[in-house]
Amino acid sequence: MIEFFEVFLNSDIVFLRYAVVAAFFSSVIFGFMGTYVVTRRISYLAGSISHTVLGGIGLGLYLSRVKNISWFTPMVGAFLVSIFAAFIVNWVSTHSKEREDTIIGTIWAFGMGGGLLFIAKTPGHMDPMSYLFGNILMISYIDLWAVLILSIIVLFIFFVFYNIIICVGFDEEFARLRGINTRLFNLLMLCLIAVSIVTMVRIVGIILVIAMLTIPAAISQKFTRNFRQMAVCASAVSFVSFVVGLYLSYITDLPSSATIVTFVAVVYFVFLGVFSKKV
Amino acid sequence: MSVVEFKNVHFSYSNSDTELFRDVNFSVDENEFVSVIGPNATGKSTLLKLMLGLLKPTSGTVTLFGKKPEKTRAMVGYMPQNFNFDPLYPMSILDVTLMGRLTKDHMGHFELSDYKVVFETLAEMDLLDEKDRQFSDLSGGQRQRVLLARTLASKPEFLIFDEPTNNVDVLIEGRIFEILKNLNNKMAIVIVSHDLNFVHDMVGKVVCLHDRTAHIHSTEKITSDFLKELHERHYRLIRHDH
Repeated sequence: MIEFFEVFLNSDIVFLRYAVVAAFFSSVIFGFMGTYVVTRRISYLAGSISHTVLGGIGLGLYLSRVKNISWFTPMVGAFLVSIFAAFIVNWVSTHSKEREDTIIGTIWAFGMGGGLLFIAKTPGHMDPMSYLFGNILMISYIDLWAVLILSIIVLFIFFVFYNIIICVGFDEEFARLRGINTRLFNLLMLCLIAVSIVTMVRIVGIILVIAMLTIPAAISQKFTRNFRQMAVCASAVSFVSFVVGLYLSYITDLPSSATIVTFVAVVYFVFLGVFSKKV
Repeated sequence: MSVVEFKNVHFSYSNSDTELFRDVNFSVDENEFVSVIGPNATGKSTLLKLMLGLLKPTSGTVTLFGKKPEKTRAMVGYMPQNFNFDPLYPMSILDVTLMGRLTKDHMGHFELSDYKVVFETLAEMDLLDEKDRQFSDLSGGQRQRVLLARTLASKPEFLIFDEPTNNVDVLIEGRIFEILKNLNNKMAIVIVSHDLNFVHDMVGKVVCLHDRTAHIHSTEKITSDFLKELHERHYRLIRHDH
């Protein structure tokens, strides 16, 4: 434990400090966006958008390296494809006469499969695992700024639109009757989820993004009484999970993202067991 | 000006080949108390949703306060019959009632005046002492009262109720209709109710749905034999004035 703190406080070693600072601001994003995702029961939509990010990264790699379209970087690809996926997913969930979960699952698989095909056709060695699990210990100063700015945007949106967010989440028909354009609102929130996912995938990877968008909020739901409490509590759970996960990965020399995911999932199962016994 | 006007309205659901409504024509005037009756699956709730613009007619026009329902429906207090909500959604009675104060132009944070209206409404519904209880912890009848409080907190100019006394006990049922009676002095009310007992002395017009259209009757013509024939089951119909 002492050694972990010595590394954290060592001015010559920045990676752990960057990771903890990134974890703090990421936790704000995961806490608030995760509470929105969990209370609206759209984890599978978020999962689908997350996996299309791999499609966008693959497309970006292919176009920038094989077709020499230099501006179409993997991040531009991820951003464009995830926003496109948000539009499609939103359209499917409101208009489609087909089974919604089947179409969402197909988009999920298509995004991932397409991404791997583009990566396979791009020369040079790229490990898709790095996109799935990311590496919070490898983040840059620019990544920190990106997370900081996004966390401020997320907090601002939840502060200004708080009443609409809970009204649409709790009773969408009533919100429509009060004059709120719920379709546009749902689309904008899905786009915000997409932007959050793209930003966070760069830092923690697709799997950790899905885990942190759902598990901390699901844990918080067990003992909070309103959306605001739930979001703040989910942010705290997320940050504690990041720090404990980082510490465990440090002392066991295991991959950080996988350790964080496993830790937060175990905590969730424990809470599930404790609360189900109470019932 | 009529509060609601249906002109030659036809309607069918997109997933159905058969028309639910054929050439429906009726209006609701100011301060009128209208009851919508009809056997199951004749489209009572659908009729209310057409009034609110939540569904669009296949042909014909529906106007609400002389305009498209989408433009004016914020002036309406609507209580649906079935309220499917997520029991895990963390909402207190106060949170749910405050939703009634939300408008298109007032989406930010609630002001003191909003809380004043909500507290008054909760007091009227005997819910003020329980305002911090979770909505999901309440019984069906208590939830119905909270939803009624939310509807009234929006200070509507026209009320649409779909089976408002489902799940509530006789005491609350009486209270709800006392409130409706008072509100009817100020605004029109449309109500779907299986039990005409307690609305009979208030209702001025009955919209009876059968044969895929709306038949308009005065309350005097609604006899228990007529209802029995209509619903194929006996309806209690006791006038409160004798």
